[in-house]
Amino acid sequence: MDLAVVVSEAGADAGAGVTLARKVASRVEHLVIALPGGERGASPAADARYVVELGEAAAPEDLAAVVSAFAESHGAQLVLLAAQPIFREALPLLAVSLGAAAVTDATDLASGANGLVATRMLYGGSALAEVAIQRPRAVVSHDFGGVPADSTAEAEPVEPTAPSGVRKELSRRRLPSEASLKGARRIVSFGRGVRSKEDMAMITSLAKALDAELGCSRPIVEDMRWLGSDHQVGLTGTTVAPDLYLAVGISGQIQHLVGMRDSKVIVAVNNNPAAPIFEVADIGVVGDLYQVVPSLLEALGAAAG
Amino acid sequence: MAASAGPRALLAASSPHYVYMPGLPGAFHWLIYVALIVCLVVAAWLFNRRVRAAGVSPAELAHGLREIASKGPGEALAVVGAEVFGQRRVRRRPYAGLMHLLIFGSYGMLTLGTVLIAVQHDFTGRFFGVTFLNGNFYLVEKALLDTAALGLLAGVAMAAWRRLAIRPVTLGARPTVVVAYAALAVMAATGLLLEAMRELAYPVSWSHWTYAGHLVALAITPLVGRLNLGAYQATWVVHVIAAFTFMGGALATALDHVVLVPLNIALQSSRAPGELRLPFNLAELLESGGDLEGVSSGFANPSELDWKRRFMLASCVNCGRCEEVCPANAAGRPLSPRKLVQALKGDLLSPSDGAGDLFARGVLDTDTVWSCLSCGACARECPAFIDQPETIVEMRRHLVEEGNVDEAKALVLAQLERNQNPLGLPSYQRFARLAEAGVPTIEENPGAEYLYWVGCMSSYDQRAWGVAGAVISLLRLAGVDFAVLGESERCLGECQRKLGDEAGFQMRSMEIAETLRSHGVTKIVTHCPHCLVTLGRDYRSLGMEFEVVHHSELVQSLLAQGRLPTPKSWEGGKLTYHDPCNLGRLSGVFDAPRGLAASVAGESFVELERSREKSFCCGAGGSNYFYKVPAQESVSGLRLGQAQAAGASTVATACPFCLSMLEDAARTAPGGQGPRVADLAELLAEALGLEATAAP
Amino acid sequence: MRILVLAKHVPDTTEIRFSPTGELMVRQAPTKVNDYDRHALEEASRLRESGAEVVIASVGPPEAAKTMKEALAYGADRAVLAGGAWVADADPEAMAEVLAAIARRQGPFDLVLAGDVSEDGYNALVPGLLAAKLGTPYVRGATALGVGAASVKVTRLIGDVEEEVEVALPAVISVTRLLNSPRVISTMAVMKVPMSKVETVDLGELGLDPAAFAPGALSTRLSAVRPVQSKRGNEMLRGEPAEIAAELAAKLRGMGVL
Repeated sequence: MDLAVVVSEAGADAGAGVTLARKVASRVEHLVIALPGGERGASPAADARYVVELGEAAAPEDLAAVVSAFAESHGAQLVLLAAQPIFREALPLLAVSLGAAAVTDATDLASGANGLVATRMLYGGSALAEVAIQRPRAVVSHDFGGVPADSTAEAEPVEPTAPSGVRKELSRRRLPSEASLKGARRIVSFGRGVRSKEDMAMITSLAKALDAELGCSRPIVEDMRWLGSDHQVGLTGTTVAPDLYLAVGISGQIQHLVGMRDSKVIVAVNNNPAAPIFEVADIGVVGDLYQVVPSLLEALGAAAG
Repeated sequence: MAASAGPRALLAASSPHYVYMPGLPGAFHWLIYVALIVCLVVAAWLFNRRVRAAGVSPAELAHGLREIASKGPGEALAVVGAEVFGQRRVRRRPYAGLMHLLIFGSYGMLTLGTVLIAVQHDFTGRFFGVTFLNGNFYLVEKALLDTAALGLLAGVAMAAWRRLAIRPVTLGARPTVVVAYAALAVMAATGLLLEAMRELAYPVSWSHWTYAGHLVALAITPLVGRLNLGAYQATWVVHVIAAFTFMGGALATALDHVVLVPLNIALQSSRAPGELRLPFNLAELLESGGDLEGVSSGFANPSELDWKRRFMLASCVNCGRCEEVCPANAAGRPLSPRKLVQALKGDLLSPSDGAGDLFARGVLDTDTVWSCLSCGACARECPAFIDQPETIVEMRRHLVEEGNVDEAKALVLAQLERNQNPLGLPSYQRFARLAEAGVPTIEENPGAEYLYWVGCMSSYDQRAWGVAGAVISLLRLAGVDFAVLGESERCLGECQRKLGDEAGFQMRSMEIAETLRSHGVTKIVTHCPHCLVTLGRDYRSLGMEFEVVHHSELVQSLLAQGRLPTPKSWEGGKLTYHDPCNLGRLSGVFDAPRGLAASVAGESFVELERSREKSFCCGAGGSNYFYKVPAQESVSGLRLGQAQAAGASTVATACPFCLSMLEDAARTAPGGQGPRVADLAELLAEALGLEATAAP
Repeated sequence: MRILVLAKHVPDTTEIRFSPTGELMVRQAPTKVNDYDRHALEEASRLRESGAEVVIASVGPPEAAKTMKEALAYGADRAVLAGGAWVADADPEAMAEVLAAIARRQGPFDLVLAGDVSEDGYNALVPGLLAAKLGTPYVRGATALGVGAASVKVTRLIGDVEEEVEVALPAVISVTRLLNSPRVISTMAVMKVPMSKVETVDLGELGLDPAAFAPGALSTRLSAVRPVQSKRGNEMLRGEPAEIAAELAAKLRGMGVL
């Protein structure tokens, strides 16, 4: 393939996108969507770099229009979008306007015998599918652009198309960040291994050090009443699926396990090597939490400092 | 006529005998009959009004009773006899039971005494010249009647004391009953007074047999000297008025239970504990190709209930015994079975305003019906045979049909459909542990004597797997030929049924029964009492017969047959046994687990205060394992506390849910480590040195 | 007001597995209404209570008719199920094309509601593709809806920013699971829905050319499916607390979860 366009928001590192696009295209151009006068972001290893300024409330229709016009005029066969909300919304519009095949959340791209092949998850992550692209053009989204960069490298400006006016913004407000297990990226959860309410402080510091939400097992809420039920993880509490679930002093009743089994990485700390929690853990630490947690705090602190 | 006989003639009588209405004008005799007829008419009118207020027509009631009679009234009569005349449930409370027995028994005896007089005077004596109130029989009868009069006074005094001084919180307020009690007291007191007055006027040689009246006579003689006939006749009139006021008016007061409760007991007598009646039979409906449009289950308002259920609600005496034994109530959940039935009864008799179902109208809160543990303690205790748990499930059915349940319950129902277990774990993982333990499937061992129904908890929960592992080891050691269904085993639908998805439950039961039949399964052993009740009783009610035994029963019989050795020693300290509700109260299995416990722990076995029929739920019943309701305390914590109070260092149980709940509570027991909680099979396997055999 | 709700018949992903020989076992998995679409169905059913007509549209195999009964049980007037042999290979673009044909033939509709994604493919494409094909505005991720006579106000959550936007009707809105709590549909409620409420149509009846739906003519095609090893690591760390802690911290950093 001759040309791929990588599209990402400003202030984000598109490196992973460019690298992926490079796998299947001989030339990779980076189109940065930036706020007027705002940060531009980095384009490591891109062959060319363009920037288009759109307002904060830009509608996906407007985004689709400008990217579509860009891809059309540059003759790109692949448009690789960062998997961010605004791009997710614009992707199908863009695909229809370019007459392109649409693939979301590709984890990999390859050039097959009959053209582009994207890999993506299927059935809730239990299967990986290879999707053969049967159109000359493809619009694909990929999870990249997670790390902010401070490059102010020069970029060629691209004129935005006239606003469509399809969408009227009525309000926009930043919500106060509120402790919530649902949707938390990291959770430190504890159970009856913690012997007294005072000792909870140790767990709270660990949660703070990991920038994690605080969770617990049922007895902590129902029997000990140390925490409110909004902290309870499990069948009768909240079902969670964070990137990291660190279970401290939780033996792992099925009640609890079914509420956190979808977590990406599960770490369990328990002094009983036969505790059921270890069955579902990626990493199990057999040891006294009163020794392990302070050490872990130290190890994390040392790394941060 | 005896009334005209003079006092001297009485004295001259050679042997004790009854004298009819001495010192009273002959017309009074007929007045009594007139009053009786008026009284019966009034009572009938009140009864009619009473049942009609509950939406029941006397014709329906009569039809229901005829139905019982035509099916063979033996069972109903036996139950009514035991409960009404034997006061079986009423007696369970010492104070209230004695009070009730005194009032009921005394009143019954006094009524009988009066009837005997009427029979002798107006029937056998009048027509055949036969009298029987003579001689020793008469003397004993008189002494008994005096005792009954004292008993009635004592009973009413106890009732007054209870209401004024003891004031149990569970006793509902019933102001009208005071009138009835007063009538009884006046009746008994004037009865004794009349006896005393008669003794003054017409002394007899056997007056010490009417000892109470005699004592009163001794007491009043110094005061009145001799009889004033006017005062005597006036007292008689008061006595008769009091008696008929009670007889005719009781139905207007809370003492209407004297009529309603025996009838309700007769109507409900054929029910098994914890049984849920079928609102429809899906298999029959589908087979007949009938229209499902009008089919529904549950009730939105008490007025929709069938007449038997309406009559049942109307029979509530508001005595509060259900509330006393309710574990949900004890844990501070928003449920009192008494208040619940009273609220429904109140709404049935005078519907509150507003539109919509009983929840929309504020009669009950949905949390109330979800607080119920379906443990059956209340129904077992209710002297009026009210089925609170079924009533609650019926309201849950309505909520499910309306789609009015929260996400936690919706998730359980959805997971049951998708994964065939309420935990939402993949159905194909069900067999993993069993396969690892080398247990044959029914395909691999088609002629197996027993199908071992493992259940969801032990299939998925590592801790509960320990129970299955122990059962497998014991069955293997005893050489029992068994197999499991493997991946085609699935939840029997107990939680679905208790949550109120009746159609889903019946659909599932048909599929499972088909699977079992296709393998020619007849005998099933399970270690889960929830499965036991569902597969045994509930499936049978849908016409699917399987012989199901609990592992405690099978293992106990293996021990008795010597196919399993008896363990030698026990070092687990005091062992107690927690009766799982579904095994004990609802299935009647009490002795097998105790036999097992005794063979494991011998002399170290201690009973809990609330054991056997009186057992206290672990907190998981009625699907409560899967959702949360507001509460002050945890039910499992309360139960574990009871075991700790009994000094138990090991708590044995025989249900994976009880195991999970109580073990959880033991981990949080005040003062550090609580008692060990284990299944009886685990304890036995361990004592026989088998614990590692099957558990991977 | 006329509302079209997209409701997909999907296998339950928690029951999908690979056979020991590495074959994907989807057939055995129980099927159901896509959970995300249930929120759209619930919302539509509430709008129906205030007078809207609700039609459900779906693309699926013949068994999907049963799933449509479940979808109808939320409270909708009827369902249109497009099917045929082509369904097995249909990609999101093909589905959107068919749904657009349904929307045009049975329309006009003021509002199209759907779940943001389907549980099986998780493409999150069909509602947007449909909007583009119909030429209507598209808003994704609705957490609250305010449907007016000529426009719809959509509240959504992007990161920690909550915004409310308004688009003119007709429009396609896809919704999140925060939108509402769908009612429980009891077994009896599903059984009570008459099959006559489900209309099945094929490509010809929708005026579409079957040749365009042949596997080779589609925009994408699944060429291979392989299992993801999802088994937990079960790696056990033992030893000196300080050492294990350091090791654990390093491992977590390596996994990119810190």
